[in-house]
Amino acid sequence: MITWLANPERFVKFARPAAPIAAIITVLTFIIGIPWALVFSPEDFRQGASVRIMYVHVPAAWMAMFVYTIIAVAGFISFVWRHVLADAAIRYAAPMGAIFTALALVTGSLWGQPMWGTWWAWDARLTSVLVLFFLYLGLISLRGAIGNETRAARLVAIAAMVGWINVPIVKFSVDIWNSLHQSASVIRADGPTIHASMLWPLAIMGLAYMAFFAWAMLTALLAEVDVRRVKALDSKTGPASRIRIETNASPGGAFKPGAANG
Amino acid sequence: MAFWAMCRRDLALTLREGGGWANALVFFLLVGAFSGFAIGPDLERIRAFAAPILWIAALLACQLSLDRLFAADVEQGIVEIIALGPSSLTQFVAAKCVAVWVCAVAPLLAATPLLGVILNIAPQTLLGVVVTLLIGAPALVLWGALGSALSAGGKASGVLVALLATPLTAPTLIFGILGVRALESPGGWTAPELRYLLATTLIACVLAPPAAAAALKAQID
Repeated sequence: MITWLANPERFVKFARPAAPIAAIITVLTFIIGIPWALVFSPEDFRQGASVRIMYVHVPAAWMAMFVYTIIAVAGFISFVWRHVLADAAIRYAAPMGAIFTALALVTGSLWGQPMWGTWWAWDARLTSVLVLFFLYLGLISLRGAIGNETRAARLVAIAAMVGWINVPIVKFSVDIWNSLHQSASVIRADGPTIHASMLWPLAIMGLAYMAFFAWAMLTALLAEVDVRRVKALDSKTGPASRIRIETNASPGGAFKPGAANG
Repeated sequence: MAFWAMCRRDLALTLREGGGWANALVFFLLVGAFSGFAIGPDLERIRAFAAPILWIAALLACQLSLDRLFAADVEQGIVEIIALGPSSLTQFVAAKCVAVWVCAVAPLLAATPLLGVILNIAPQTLLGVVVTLLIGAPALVLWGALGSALSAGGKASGVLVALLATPLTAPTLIFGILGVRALESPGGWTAPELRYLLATTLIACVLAPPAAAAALKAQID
């Protein structure tokens, strides 16, 4: 699948129809999912209406981890095969992943305040997601600090791969940390199975987040392909050809071939 | 051997630069002392916070001393010469890390008892901090070196190194503090936390030098 899509022609052929399909799925699932999750889903018998934060929070946390995995795979492809689309995927996915992570942290905090009685607990999950957020920020600012595009692609790919290896280690270390030093705050045991009446809206919201991410990524990558085509054209014929067309077309300007360059 | 020659070159450069080696040490002492000011004169409270303060101060001091580790070598073409020569860039990174340990981390470890005393630390805890820093500090240096190699050609090096390296040092910090607590009890020497701490250092030993070497290679391409 990935090697098949590595060809930009085939990628465009796939992405042109796939992007609107993802857009339709996004809109439909949000139209169904948001009222279902926020209005019609049952209240929790202990948590009341505040359980509805879950439908925003849990999919965001899924996406936070999913997007980082995508970034790590793209980093591997970008590093080994120096594929420009893989690098573009990291560039566009990193800010989105950071936003999903921030959303998971903020909604988790808003949920934690009424449920646990605190905005923040030094719990294994919270801590490892926070570290994930910093990893995203590191990737984004590393990209911003390097001017040379090829070099930036190599370095960001290295950072993405090392960061991914770190994620399970962080999770593991904070798990042990937490189990040895139990926090005094009431931490929700993640054992209870969710009732189907809550699981369905949650699944639809998860699908909506995923479709939104796919839509945004496909659109961004299609734009990236177009940008690269324009650049390739420029390097063949020179940007002057485009500039001359623009100056000729300007209203009121006298038609003087070559005068704009003189 | 090329490795020791590179170590000696770095040591000579750092020592002749006029007090560059002392930056990390002074920063370490400053963070420790200012934490004391911030916590206030209550001796029992300072004692409770002493081990975390020492660890955080050491972590920050390590990152600080690493922010320009490779910048000069990339700019002056040293990295290119080594890449062309018989020894690998991984070796070069490892030699740099050894030199940093000798110049910056060893003085810091030597100053830990002094800072510990003014933070009113218990003797058993102080021993724990020194032991865990001995085991864990190489990981701090190695991840910092990776961050430094990644940002060597960049515009905003200093903060970027911290942003790239600090998340990678989170497991070392966590197990370091757990190791200190384990060593406070009599049977602490065989505690699993110390082995996990050693494991984070070994993972850094395996991953960080080749990753940093790949980053340096990208800087000169």
